[in-house]
Amino acid sequence: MDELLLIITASLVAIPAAIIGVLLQLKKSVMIGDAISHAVLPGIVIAYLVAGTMDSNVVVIGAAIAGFSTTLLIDFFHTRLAIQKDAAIGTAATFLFSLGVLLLALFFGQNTELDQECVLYGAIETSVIEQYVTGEYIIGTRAIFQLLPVNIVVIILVFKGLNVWKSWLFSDSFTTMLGFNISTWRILLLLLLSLHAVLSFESVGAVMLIGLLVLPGATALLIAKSLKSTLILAVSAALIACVAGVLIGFQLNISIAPVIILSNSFLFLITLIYSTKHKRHLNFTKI
Amino acid sequence: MIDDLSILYLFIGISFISITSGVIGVFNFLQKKALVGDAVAHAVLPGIIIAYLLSGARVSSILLLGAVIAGFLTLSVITLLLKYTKLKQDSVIALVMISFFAFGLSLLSYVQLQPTLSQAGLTDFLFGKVTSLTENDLNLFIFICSLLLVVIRLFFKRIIAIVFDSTFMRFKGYSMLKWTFFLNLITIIIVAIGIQAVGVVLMSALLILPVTTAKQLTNKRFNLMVWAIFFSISSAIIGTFISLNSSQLPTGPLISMVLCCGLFITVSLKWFISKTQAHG
Repeated sequence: MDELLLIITASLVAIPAAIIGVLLQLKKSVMIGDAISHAVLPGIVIAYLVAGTMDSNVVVIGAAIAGFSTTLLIDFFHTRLAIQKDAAIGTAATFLFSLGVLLLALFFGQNTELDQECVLYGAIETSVIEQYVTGEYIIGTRAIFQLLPVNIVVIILVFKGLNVWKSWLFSDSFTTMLGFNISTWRILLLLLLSLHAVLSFESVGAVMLIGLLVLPGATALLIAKSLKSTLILAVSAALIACVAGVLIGFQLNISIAPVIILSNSFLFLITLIYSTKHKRHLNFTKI
Repeated sequence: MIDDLSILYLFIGISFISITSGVIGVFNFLQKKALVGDAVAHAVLPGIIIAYLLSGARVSSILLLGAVIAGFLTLSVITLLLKYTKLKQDSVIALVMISFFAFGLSLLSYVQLQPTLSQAGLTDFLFGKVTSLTENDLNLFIFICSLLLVVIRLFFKRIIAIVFDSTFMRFKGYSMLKWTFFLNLITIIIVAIGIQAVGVVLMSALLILPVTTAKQLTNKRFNLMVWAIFFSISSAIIGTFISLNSSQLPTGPLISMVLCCGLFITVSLKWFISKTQAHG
């Protein structure tokens, strides 16, 4: 039963990350996703300090906005201070992340070892403790109910607005010409990512999220032919990796989040080998 | 607890590490490869842990070797993937980095389960702990850092020319394969050393931030180098000092925080001076 709940939680963490990750990858801004997932940490720590818990929705949204402000910081570094893009991203991410780690070390007592490791790979195992029970049936855990709304919003937003995303990935000016406001869509995407980073922080931590963003999408991009199939393949790859990761991690009794990432990497490797063989075959027939 | 002489020695070691990383950070910055240092820093974690598991003891030279091998493997995998797939550069870097890092974290989580192995303090590598460095470690680090600095001094003009305009240098007959290998090698070595002091997660701060701050002040290559070294060394010493006085704060975040403060102070001073000059 615990395994099932963990698989559901992990999938709910992985699905929006995979979808947003595909879009970010095609727009060449994966590192902004990395920066955001690092930068929600100070927001979360301050939220914990103020409210003492992550249950409050106001706190979650506050932390998400704090995470989103990284993009503003990166833009500030890049445009006003004329720092080149990669260094601007690195500066903003390290600044906010070290701020978060220091706040954590300062305010959460001597037993910081545990907290600091949670920052890196979360503690998805503890999510099964807080269960919601009606009658005799377990209907879910707190983590599942927190993650579900973001999943629904991301899936609807991306699949309903697929044409907008397609034109956005193709060209900014083309999208503007069609009558869509690019910055609104971009801000919406990054805000959702930031919100998701906050909500999945307890499960996978601040550092592992980049793996869930980039790996399923990369696997899908090796073989997919269209944006829609890329998204669907990325989600399925993420789901397979979640099931494998939870089961293996449970079996070996080690932290689950890194194992999920490793299963993703393994899937990527298999797909890579398959795709290169396939490609050679195709080239051969063409000649 | 720690006598004055060994603290002095610790500061000398940290200064050497920060000078070297400041210089190498300038090269990476000029090549627009600032995030490669970050990727290597994350990816050497499994190398360190496997080296520890194989040798059975925490000997820095062996851990260093493991880290360098892992760093090389990372960069070769990145190069291969860029060559044979159509994936974008930043996603390739991110995916290789996180795969290696996740492997390292799983190994770490496995090591901590073993009662005989868990006392080694391998978690110090995550966020860094200056006080865990012994005198032998520092000797080794100072030796390697001075070696790196001498080598860089010898080839300085050529390195600057290559990071400034690699196409031109290729026309002049320099093998880019060899020189990229060399530049990658020095980055990997300094990362492998630096993570023992400031940790895996925030090693990139030592590479990126000094040169970013220096770039605010000057555009000349010599001045850039001098300012980068200045910011790097002063923040490393201040950060280490604070870290020694309050044992609960990890060293890596402290140093990177001091570096960020340096950047903000520089930027605001520059802004203030430009304003007063405009009105004066």
